[in-house]
Amino acid sequence: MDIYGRGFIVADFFTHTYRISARTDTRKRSLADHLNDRLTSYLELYETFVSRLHKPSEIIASYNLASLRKDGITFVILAAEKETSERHAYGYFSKQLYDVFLTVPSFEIRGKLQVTGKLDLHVLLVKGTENFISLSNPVASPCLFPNITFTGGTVLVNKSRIELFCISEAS
Amino acid sequence: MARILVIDDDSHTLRLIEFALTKAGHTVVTASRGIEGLQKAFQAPPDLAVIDLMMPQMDGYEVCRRLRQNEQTAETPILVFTARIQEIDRQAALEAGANEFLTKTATPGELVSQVEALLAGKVSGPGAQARPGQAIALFSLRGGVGVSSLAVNLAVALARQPHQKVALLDLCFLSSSVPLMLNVRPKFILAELSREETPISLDSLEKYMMAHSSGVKVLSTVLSPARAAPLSAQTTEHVLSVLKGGFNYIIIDTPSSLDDMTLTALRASAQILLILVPEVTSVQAAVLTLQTFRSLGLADEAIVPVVNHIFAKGGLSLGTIQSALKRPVKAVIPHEPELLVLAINSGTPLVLSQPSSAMATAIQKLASTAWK
Repeated sequence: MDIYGRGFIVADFFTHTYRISARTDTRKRSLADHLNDRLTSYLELYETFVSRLHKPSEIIASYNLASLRKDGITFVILAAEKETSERHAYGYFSKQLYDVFLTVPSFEIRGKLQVTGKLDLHVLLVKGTENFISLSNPVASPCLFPNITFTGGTVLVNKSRIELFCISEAS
Repeated sequence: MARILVIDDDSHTLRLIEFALTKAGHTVVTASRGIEGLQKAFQAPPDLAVIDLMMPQMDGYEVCRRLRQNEQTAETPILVFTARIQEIDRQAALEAGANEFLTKTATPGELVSQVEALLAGKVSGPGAQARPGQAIALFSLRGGVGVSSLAVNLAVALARQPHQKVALLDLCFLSSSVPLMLNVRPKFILAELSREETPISLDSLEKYMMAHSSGVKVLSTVLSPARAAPLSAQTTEHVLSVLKGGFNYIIIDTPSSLDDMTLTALRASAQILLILVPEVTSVQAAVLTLQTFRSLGLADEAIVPVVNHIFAKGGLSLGTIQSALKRPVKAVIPHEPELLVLAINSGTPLVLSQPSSAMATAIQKLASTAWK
């Protein structure tokens, strides 16, 4: 989410034990592009508020500046619906929408995946060069606290953290 | 115009809110830290406070709690305006004492509208407090139509309106589900009131009430079926009259019978929400209820039919129901079994756990009609 046009995005970053609400400067790019940028392994966070997963609304620490290892992120939830990589915006192939259910450490995530052209899970999960995949209309629940849900416009899931990935044609 | 205190650590956001509210004609006082905001609020209590959640040193939840604890600001409407978008954040903010929750995805216009709506509530607040409380009974002669879940959600929705003290009187002495639905544990039951001094005061009655985080106070008639007992008509009348002196609204969950206790509660109610489901036996029970109410001399204009869709398909149409009842249906509660079951099982009412669901929206609409 671009807060009043300043190039900052506010998002909820989840590791397998913490929720980190913070803003990050994407320098007018999308957060997906920023996360998939292999030249940097850390994300600089500003106004960082940390909560433990079992009490995700309780802020246990806050700092003006923080650094978050990209490979330590399990997933990121954003309010905006359009937060995908710019490269996905254009294409000659038809687009198909799929329902996805996936598990990552401590979480289960449901959402919708838009695939351009033919669906190939190997390309999507293994061969693809991007570290994070984007799902729209996500609902994430900590598996130990299934009554708690995190929703948003988009979720960016760290592919290296995915344990189970289930997909079906969108209902 | 109103004096509004805005507390936000982000200077850009602070300036934007100040600009939008000043343009709408309000006087704005700003603070960039929670503690600074509290000092300003206690020095000169504002008409309304707009508070960010994510602030260093003292977060917005703590600011809300401290405002509510202070006598001067305990009744100040609070709008939480935050970049935290999760439902769990909304719940925590409301539990901390906020009246409304708005995410920073909202436009400045939406923020101003929300502020105006809260201020409008405040204007009617003192008048509403000065007049005696209003009892609203929910009744159905046929059980299993969702009376208790509607009563619980209606009470919570009313308690979320600014300056409204709401009591939930659970008269279902044989099969009470209200404490479970709110995840509160009754310590005493109303039948034990007979041991108290006579006449019962509001203070002594409040000892028997269970406080829910939404602000609703619950008074139950049941602890266990073995100790279940209905109240006498005299006690019911007295309890309701005491509650009307201390609460703006008393929501009554009535049993599916027309005994002395229930009839007394219905007679003392300004509105009787007659709950029915869109199937023949329920509609027939509602028609019989209306005839019985008429013969008992209950005010006809107080009776308000509400259709609760507890099943998905095949129900009678609204037109058929209205022609059978010979009166319009005030509200139709949509069918959302999965969300409702989840809410009941978790002990968090639907209007708090899923406030944007169709069912919660319908109940909130019903509450706001009653409130206005």
